[in-house]
Amino acid sequence: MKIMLAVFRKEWIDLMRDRRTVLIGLAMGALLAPGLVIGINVFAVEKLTQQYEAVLKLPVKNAELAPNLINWLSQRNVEVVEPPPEIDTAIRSQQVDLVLEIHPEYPQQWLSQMPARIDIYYDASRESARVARSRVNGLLDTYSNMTGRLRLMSRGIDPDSSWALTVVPRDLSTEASKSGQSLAFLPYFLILTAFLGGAYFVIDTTAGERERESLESLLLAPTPASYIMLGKVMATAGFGLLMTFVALLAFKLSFSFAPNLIAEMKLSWAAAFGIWCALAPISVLGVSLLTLISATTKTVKEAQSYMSVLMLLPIIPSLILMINPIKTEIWMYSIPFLSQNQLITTILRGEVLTLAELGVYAGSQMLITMVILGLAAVVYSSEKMALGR
Amino acid sequence: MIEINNLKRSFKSKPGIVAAVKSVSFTAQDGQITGLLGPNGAGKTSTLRLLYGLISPEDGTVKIDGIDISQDKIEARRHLGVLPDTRGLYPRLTARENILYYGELHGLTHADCEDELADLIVSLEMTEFIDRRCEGFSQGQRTKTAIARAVIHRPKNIVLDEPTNGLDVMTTRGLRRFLQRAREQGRCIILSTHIMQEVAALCDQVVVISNGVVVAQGTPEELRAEANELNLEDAFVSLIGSEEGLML
Repeated sequence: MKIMLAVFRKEWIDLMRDRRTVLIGLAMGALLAPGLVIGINVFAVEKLTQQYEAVLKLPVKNAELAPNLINWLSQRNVEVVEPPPEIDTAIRSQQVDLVLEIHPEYPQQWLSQMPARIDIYYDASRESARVARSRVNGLLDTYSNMTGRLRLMSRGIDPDSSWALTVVPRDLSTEASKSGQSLAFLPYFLILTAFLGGAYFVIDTTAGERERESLESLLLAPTPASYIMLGKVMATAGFGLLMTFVALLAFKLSFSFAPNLIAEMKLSWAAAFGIWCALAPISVLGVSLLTLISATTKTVKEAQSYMSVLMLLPIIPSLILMINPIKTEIWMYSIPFLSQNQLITTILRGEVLTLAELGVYAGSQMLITMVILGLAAVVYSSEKMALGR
Repeated sequence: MIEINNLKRSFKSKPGIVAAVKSVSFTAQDGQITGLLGPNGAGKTSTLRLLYGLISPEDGTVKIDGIDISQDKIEARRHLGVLPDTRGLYPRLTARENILYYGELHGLTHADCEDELADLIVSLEMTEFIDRRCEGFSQGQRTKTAIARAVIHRPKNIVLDEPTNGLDVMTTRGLRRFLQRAREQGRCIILSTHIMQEVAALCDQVVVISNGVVVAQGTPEELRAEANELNLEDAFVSLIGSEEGLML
């Protein structure tokens, strides 16, 4: 234990004296967070107001067949324009977002009080056309509804009798759970920070120490090599946690001070602390995994080349869930990354974790970390470690 | 005292298996400096690595003060101070911090090391740079720091792999005085070298290694007699059978 602490203290001093790397590491988390929060907000707010409040240019084919509708639309912030000659190509090439086509039989259907046909051409995969589509749909619904009610009244029928049901939406999401939804990007960012925050220092204290030729002397100390390794793991995991702490603090502060947030993005102090605790295991796990990797690699360069793969790891469980959405189940708390994602989301939604969930989480992460550390200790104690071959 | 008995070790390398150490046996007594002499690639560094248990032998034993290193590596290492072939320091720590860290790794507190460190600073002439960070140290300053950290726990046995490599004359002389003092204290010292003068100036006993085998051992005088040469240099050439790799 004394040896471990000695190694921990030395590595921590050594690491902190590498000022630039430390500052860059911490500043990344600290600056990126407010940048993301404020940037996304300002951008999103502007884009939404623009799209909802601007005059909507709507190409309509055969506009002359429905003069009433066109007149009604133009009173509602819509400017009806000439349709493009080739509707398909114009939409595919994004010249226009959507096109209305009044069917040739529209006047006749209208007069005989049949549902009159209007075609809407659009490309559902275009996110940019979403607002225009919902505006046009909304307007056409209102027009259709209004005219229908007038027709019923003219026949002496109460228009309300055409509604068989009254559906009242009662949204049970809490303020916290709504903000959890709008903070969807937060878990990945935080998990990545915790997972790889100490990464460069791990590589430096393992593969780097060998490259600087101080490892042989270190491994000659009269102590099991695993103690030395654990000291290093403690120091580097500590730094990962410090980085996570700074990033969380930055998020917390930027939520508090950012102007005009579109959604309620709130992060209470308690939630921030909860998230930090939830991230501690992944920090240790990441550092252990990197220790194992850089102990088996020959050079710093080789160890670093694993980084790009490791950066993708935290997304994988979320991707699988996106493709195959399933309800939160207890086993999820045992899968690294997925469990942190669940935990953070739960905390952000303001829900309470059960003891079983916490137990599964803590137990599984500890087990995985121990297995990885065990493997790393075997490598650390081998001849290969000191000689680098 | 360090007893080495019939050590054998080979390594896998690209063209095939290389037998680095084929058969090495010798005993280094307390109060003596034992020189391990041989041309480059003779197996000196591998022999020393086997000695301090960084690698394990395929055959043979190493005993340090009677402790078999393959049985109790940790206890054996407590009796051992090593300056290995690779002597990197931590560039962001000062020389003092580098040395004290090794004291801690041996389970000593800073206070425990105080006297010994003060002593080492004087005997290795480190006053000038002891509180400077190791970044940008000269070869000599680096080697002195590395030696100080190797012996901060006052080991009974000291093993140095080519300690004077790349050092200037003044530093080399200082280092020799340091080793002679250690001998007077009754410690057992093994150093490997390919430099003649070093052997002539320091060693009580010489073990000549060539191609992983001990080809001769004894005092410098005995070696001269054995090879029937007047001059130590010629004696080595005659014993090794070639001039290759020796520095005169």
